[in-house]
Amino acid sequence: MIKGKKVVSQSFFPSLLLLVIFFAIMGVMNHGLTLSFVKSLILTNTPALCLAIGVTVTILVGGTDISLGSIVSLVNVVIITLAGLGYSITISALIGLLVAVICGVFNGIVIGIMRVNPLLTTFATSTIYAGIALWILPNPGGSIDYAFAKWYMGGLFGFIMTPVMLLILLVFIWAGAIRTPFGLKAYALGCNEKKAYASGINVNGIRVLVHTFAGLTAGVAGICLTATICSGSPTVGATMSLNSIAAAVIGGVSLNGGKGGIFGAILGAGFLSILSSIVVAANFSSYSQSFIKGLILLIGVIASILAGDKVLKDKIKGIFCKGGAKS
Amino acid sequence: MSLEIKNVSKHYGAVIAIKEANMVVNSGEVRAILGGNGSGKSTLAKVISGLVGSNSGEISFDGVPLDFSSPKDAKKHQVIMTSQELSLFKNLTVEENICICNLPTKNMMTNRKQMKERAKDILKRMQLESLMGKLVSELAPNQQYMVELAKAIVQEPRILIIDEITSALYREDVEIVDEIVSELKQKGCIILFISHRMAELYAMCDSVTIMRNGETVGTYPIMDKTEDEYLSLMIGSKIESYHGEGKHQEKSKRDIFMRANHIPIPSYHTYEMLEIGKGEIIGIAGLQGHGQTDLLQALYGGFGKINIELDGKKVTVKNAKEAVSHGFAYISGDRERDGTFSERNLTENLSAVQELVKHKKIPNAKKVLDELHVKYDNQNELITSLSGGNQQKIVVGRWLTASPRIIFADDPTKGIDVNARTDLHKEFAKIANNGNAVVMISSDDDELVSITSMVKTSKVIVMYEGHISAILEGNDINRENIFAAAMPINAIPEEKGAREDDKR
Repeated sequence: MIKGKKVVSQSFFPSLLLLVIFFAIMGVMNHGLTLSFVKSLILTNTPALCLAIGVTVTILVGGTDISLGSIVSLVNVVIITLAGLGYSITISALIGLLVAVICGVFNGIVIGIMRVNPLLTTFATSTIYAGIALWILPNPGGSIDYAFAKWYMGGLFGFIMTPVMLLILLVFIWAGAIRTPFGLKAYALGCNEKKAYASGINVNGIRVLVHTFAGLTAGVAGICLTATICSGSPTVGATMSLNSIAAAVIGGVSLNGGKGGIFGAILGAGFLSILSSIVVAANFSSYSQSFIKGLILLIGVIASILAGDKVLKDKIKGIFCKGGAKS
Repeated sequence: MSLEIKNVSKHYGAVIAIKEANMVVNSGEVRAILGGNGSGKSTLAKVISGLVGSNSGEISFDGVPLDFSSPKDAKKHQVIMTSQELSLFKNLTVEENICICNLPTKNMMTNRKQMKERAKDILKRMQLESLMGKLVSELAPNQQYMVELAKAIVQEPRILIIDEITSALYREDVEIVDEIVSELKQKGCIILFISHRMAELYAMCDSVTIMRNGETVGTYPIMDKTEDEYLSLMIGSKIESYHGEGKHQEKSKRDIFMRANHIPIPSYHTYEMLEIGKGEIIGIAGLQGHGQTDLLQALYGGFGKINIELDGKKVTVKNAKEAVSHGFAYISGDRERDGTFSERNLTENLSAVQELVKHKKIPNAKKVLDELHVKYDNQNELITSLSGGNQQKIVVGRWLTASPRIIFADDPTKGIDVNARTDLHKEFAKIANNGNAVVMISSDDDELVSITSMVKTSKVIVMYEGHISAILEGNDINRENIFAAAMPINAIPEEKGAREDDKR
């Protein structure tokens, strides 16, 4: 019971609830869930999960990053183009990753050291990165050896799939980072920049690091996406940026900074992924799909914000505890 | 070992905050810094602790020049300041906050165990162990100030600047601060103590430096002078040529225009009442942040529903829009935040209330601008192209065109020049003389003395810690009386129980 209470009081609880409910709805719609279905769900949605981690980290320090989707596009075209030129998959993917990290560092330098507003900076750089992607590969196309997709779908130890490993790697890096003094300082910065400066915290350094990490997550997302679609498109990541922010908010991350964590964001992104596939599977006409998805998304965001309301939270807690006592 | 401050100056744009400040403090000395609003105490503290840079002058410690580029740099040299605005993070726990400037590590990871021990040690010394593990957002204001002090002490300061920390503390807290200060003193730490509570200064400090208008007026052993003598040193001789003292009309009878019996002051969880007469100018004085702004905002519907009596009728004001429809106006001294629409031109700024809220046209914008003596090229230029004083005239003009019945003004002349100030005073007096009313906060006591002498009925209210500590009328309105009421000598902090009763 104590454990149950603890989970309910977490900021990510609404997203967990949504995830479970919609997972169940999907199960009913598909007349049961097969392992292969869940696997394919993970395969296609790992890029979104990666971006949710990246954007959450920037929001936590009181900033934001809307350029991550463009970085994903850029990584995608870089990998496809390099592979087309005859480079090996490994080298193409690593260069793609490097490009993403450089993009992240650039964001970090402009935001952290030149102190430009994060939203404006990443809005501008998202256009720049998308522009470079278009320049490299004006028309969708190209292909990559199927071995890439095989590596991505395959498991390192038989059952654990590559995307799960990559996600765990990102989570591990961040979880490690917040256990160093950097973590507390990042949360402090997210709470109040002026006070953080007055407390002798290296505000600029933290911002650069955080955006670099966000770039890394976009790089991993780009690799995963490329392995899923096995071709190049300069606009493939365009809609992912704002989706990732929505995922973070549903996951209980405060847009004002300093509150929440990547765990919630991952749950939020998972919910959004399931939502998309449900809307597609439900055979709504293609004209109303976007409307219905948006409506449910709005309800999800409102629910998670209301759940941050203390009074409401206590009520929910009360219901939960009663239910628990009966059983 | 001593801290020497030589000819340090600091200005923000054209506003001079410190003018050639000089001071020498020896190790183990507790130095009080005394001065009125805007006398430069806090700025001096910020310069020493590296939060802002100085424009000229030299600070040295032990003969080594100190020139910090950031608070981080200052902390390396163990120069620590506790801030009046608090530097605590509400999303972190007490122990995380205490140690955030210098987190202990073990294999690169934060050593939470050691962090807790460190915080526990210091909290034990301050008899605040019960705060362990709580989030700062859960703490009462006085507890937050104590944690702020703990955060400073854990950094083992060699120079500690305590900026107005005790003004939020209860008596038992102050005793603890007293103990801590004397411990640090024995270790040879230099302590600069900024406070308005004279009784505490006498108890804790060795010497005192008086600041006035950004200058250090003099340094004395604290026991050398009485409170009254220090007070007159702080007030000094008049600098700006205000006239008004002794020219006030004697307490005349006023028709009650508005009465509010239960005005919430959220910063202090207190309630106050206020009566406004027809044709009256009410000045609100007090040290910064003692509830003056809250009082005005509450009347304007800023904190939700408020019941008032207007012309003898009961009226409820729910929000600013309703306030405007009752003929209230609100002019803020923070023009950028609450006053101007910076991306809009003069006419648009002028007609904002009339057109957007009341849906009426302004007949002749040019006439209004000329009547207010606004200096401008043409009506279509952006408001930001004007000087601060002229911008404020337009904000005032915006309300004048809406023919307000009561103007609430929060330090409306902050940062504007003397001529523009006099113009605004005349406008306010005109409004009052037409049977309306003006309620005005000012951090400048002289200004209040002057403006209240311009109309037949007037009073000055002085606020202290969320309460009205004095209501001055007629010839009682002078700078000495205002000053004395703003800093009640021997003001004994209320007991916790009493304060909590107010909350209920």
